[in-house]
Amino acid sequence: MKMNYKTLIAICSCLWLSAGAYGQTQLKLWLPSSLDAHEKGAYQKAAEAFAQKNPGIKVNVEVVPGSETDVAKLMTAVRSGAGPDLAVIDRFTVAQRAAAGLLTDLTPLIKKEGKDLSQEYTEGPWQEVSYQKKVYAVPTNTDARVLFYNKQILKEAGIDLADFDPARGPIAPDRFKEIALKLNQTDSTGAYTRIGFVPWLEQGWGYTWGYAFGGSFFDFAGCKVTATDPGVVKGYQFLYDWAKALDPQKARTFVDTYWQWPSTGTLPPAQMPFFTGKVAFIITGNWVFAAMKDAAPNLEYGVTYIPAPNGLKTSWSGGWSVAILQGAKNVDAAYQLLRSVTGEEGQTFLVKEAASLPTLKSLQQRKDLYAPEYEFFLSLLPVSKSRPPLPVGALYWDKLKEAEESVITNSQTPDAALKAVVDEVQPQMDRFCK
Amino acid sequence: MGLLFISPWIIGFFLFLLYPVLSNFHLGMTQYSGFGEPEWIGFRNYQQLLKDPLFWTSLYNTFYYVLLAVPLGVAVAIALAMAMNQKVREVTLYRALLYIPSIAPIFALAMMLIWLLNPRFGLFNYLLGLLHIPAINWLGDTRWSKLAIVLVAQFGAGNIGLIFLTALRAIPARLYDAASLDGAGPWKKFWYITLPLLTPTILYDIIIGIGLGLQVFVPAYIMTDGGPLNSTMFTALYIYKNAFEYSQVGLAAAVSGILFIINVVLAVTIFWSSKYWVNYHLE
Repeated sequence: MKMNYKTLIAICSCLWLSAGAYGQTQLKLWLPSSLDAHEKGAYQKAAEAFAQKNPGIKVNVEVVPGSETDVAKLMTAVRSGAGPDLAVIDRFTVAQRAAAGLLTDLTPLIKKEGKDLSQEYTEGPWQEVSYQKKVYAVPTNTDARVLFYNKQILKEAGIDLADFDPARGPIAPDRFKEIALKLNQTDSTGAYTRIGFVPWLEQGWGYTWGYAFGGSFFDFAGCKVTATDPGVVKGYQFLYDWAKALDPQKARTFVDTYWQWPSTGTLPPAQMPFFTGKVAFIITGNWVFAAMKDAAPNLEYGVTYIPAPNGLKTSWSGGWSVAILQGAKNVDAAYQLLRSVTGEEGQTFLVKEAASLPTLKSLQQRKDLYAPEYEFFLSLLPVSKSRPPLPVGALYWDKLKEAEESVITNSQTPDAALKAVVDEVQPQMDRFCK
Repeated sequence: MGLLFISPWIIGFFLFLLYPVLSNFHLGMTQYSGFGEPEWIGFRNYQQLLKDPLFWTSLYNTFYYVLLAVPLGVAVAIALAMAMNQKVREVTLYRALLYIPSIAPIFALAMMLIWLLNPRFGLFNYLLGLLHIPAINWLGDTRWSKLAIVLVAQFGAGNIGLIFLTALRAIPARLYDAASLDGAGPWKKFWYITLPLLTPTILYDIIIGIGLGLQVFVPAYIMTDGGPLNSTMFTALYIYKNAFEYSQVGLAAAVSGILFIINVVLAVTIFWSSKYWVNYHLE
């Protein structure tokens, strides 16, 4: 074979490139596409920071289709042996993914490291990543849900903002309803152009209102799904009555008009009804600060507790975690990356870039990290609840959402809708009860 | 030697069709999360399905969809084919325009449809408004949501439209000439010549349409996630959720098996019925 100089250069560069890759450990970290742009950026930076300190390890961060509960791509990739080493997983599904066999048990690795991580992380998130006394992921960020209100709309309507001063505690649901309904506006056809408050919008899930009315969703001692707990029923009744006051069909049309986006994605910040003044109140979490900076930097807003009876201060927290997948090729290096992304450095990126709250106790003390608006959220963490970490977590979530839908369309009473949830989830849960 | 020549097909058939189908029926008899060893549980998945109202809802929704989307699909495809068959100079341009929606990615189409179907600002409701018909919440009202998904499917009619176009062009012009001499108008020509001679293609379209219709997934997955109130929870979405969200691959396999059997039964029945209504011969 005759070889010209171009071929030679090509071969040489191939050899040089492969020599560069040789001896370098490759790690792949997958992010679900449902993370917002700021979160994705923060994980990317955390991975880059790690790679810089560990020149022997190359980290590829890849965004793949997936969400909090939908891990189809991850599951099939791992099952076929083409999966990543690590993945960012919604914490409340860790128990379920662990029970399914998707995740690697981290307990021996943590033991080898010789640190008691359970003491370094806050309790709720740590419980979520544990299943049957083993640890399957390490928490990254957390959050808290509160009531945001648009000061300008309230002032224009002549409403006294003192009602929403957190120093007064949560506003009572009845008083709140009286105020919020006054803010509704309609056009000549009677269709809503503004609704004071839609309790099921954004983060107003069944969990939000169930907890606000003092409910409990699972009885760990008895291994029972308790969707029919009186507090949860009251929470759903609150939704039922509110929908009735708005007219369920008209409220639905309003939501579908101003919240039009594929169910597989997240609404672009610029379209969020709270930012565009289509609603005066919304239940959402601290992460919204990152979006607000881009989409509504001049919005005059305030935050307060979620409305609740008897001054009950409630919130619930979710968040993500990093797990090592079954079949990861380089578990030790993966663990190093995991510890770095979920450690102080990684979590700092999430706080700064994505307006997250940290799950590391040490970082929660670091006042210098937070803008003043974070303080209220940090103060809620001690009372904030988590969704019960169950091997049927995703099913329970979907069924509660279904019940919520039948309640806000007034097509079922809360009692009937929640009883259906228990009937469907408990038999699945029974398999895991011992 | 002959076997050797068709071996790529035989191997493909066994490896990628027969084996997965059989293995799916096996999985349907197990408790399986997708990882570890499937645990044999006999017909328990099927028992569970019979009791699950959502399974029945999903079947109802799927049949509703198939019954509406397949005949409508045939009609739209024939209409498209006739439009692409006009004897005008710019026909190639029309053909391209009519075919474009079929090659648009379904995600982009669904995204666009979400906008077009917006209850207040959407084009569809604007047009209805011109006729003084009250606005419809297409994707948010259980009475209309399935219809909206049927509508989305029609954007893909161009593919099958092309097949109809070739069938149309295969009809000899002499038949139309003879009909003209006998005084037949356009409607009579369509009814007595075009339609009967398109029946083999219609049969093909119906069988393919039923197969695809029973598996309808993407528009509901993107646009409604099965809602409102499970009115667009099609069986394929139900399978997907069970397998990949609830880690119940065994149960999902059982549903796939049921769907497969339904599909085979329907296809065979329609194929059998074809001897009564399909014209294979010109004379």
